[in-house]
Amino acid sequence: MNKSSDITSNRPVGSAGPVALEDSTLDPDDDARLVALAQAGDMRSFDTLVTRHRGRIFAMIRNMIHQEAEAWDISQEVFIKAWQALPHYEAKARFSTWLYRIAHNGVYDWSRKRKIDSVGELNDEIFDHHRIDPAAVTAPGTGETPDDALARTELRLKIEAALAKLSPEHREVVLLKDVQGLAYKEIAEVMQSSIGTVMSRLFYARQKLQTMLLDEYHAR
Amino acid sequence: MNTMPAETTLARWLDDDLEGTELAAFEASCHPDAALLAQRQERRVWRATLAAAIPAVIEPAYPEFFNHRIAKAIRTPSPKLPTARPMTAAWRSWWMPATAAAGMVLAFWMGTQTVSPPQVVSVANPEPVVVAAQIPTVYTPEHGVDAEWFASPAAAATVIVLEGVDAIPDTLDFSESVGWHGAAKATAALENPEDAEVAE
Repeated sequence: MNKSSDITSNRPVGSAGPVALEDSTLDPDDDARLVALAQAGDMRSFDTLVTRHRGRIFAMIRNMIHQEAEAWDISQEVFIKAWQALPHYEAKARFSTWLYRIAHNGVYDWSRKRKIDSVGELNDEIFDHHRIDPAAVTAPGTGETPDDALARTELRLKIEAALAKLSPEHREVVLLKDVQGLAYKEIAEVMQSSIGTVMSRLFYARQKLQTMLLDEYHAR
Repeated sequence: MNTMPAETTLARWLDDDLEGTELAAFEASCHPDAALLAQRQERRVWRATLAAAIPAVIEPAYPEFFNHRIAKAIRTPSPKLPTARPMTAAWRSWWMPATAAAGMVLAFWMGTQTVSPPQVVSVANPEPVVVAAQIPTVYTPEHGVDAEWFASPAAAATVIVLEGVDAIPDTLDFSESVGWHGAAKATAALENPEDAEVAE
């Protein structure tokens, strides 16, 4: 089966919402093959790589900056920069780790430019479900029951609020380790720091996060 | 004999970061006790809680447009593998700075060799002082307007040609222009005080 066919298929995408992790498990060998083709100039292979990784990259960036529209733009830039830098990619790291590294730079560049706190800066107006054409093939789907969605949303909001209070470095290390599931070595590559630094940041970040969430539970 | 595992390895084990031979070696050398196992389980629960609440994968809105826009952005320049550095480039890397430095030294030397002819000024019969000719510049504040000037010493006139100025409508009556009246009165008052007195 040609994997490139996924790009143009009209399958409904669970867009603008979480995707089951099991469905999106990526085989690094497939990535390596697609990267080799893309390095030779095959744009369809690169398009497939975009399709395979856009969900994780977008989620990582969105969870970092909490701005849907900005995350969309930064994710675009990540893949464009990845294409431009593809000739220099040597597969020393996994392709996904390399993308996280570009995303890390993109987020920090954006933060430096904007110099704003990400807390409470949500601007989801343009992705409002009510404004999306009901006939759109790629309109966001809502597979959860209202109760599940509410419970999930409540927990998510609490954790997101706690995450937002962390420093960007602490937030990023928690997201990379506990949400994205990267190994310590990979996180060190992404954040360009030592494994010791990653461990230290993760220890303190978890400690702060657990304290904040504990306080909220007591307050209820 | 120190049977305590390295702090780094222990932290990695607690986070399920060890795999294959590393994991086997760790568990062979350090038999995790109940406390360590409980600690590892606690971290697993923590990660599961976070992972359940914070999605690791979120499809961006309008995913097909997302891909399309990237494809459009990268379509023109295709990635090219880095090519070997040509010999001329290597030659230029040392030749150009050396040439530039030699040129600067030569220019400095020529400057020191140039001697101005002595100027003799006769106080009794002074020559008229020639003011250095200045090239006038015409400032055009409006964007898109170009100006050229022509000077005719014979006609004692200077003409400025403006290009790009909006056409003046035929309906515009200059005599009714407030600015025109104001400027004319002011000019008249300055040039001819008698008129100013009449106007008052």
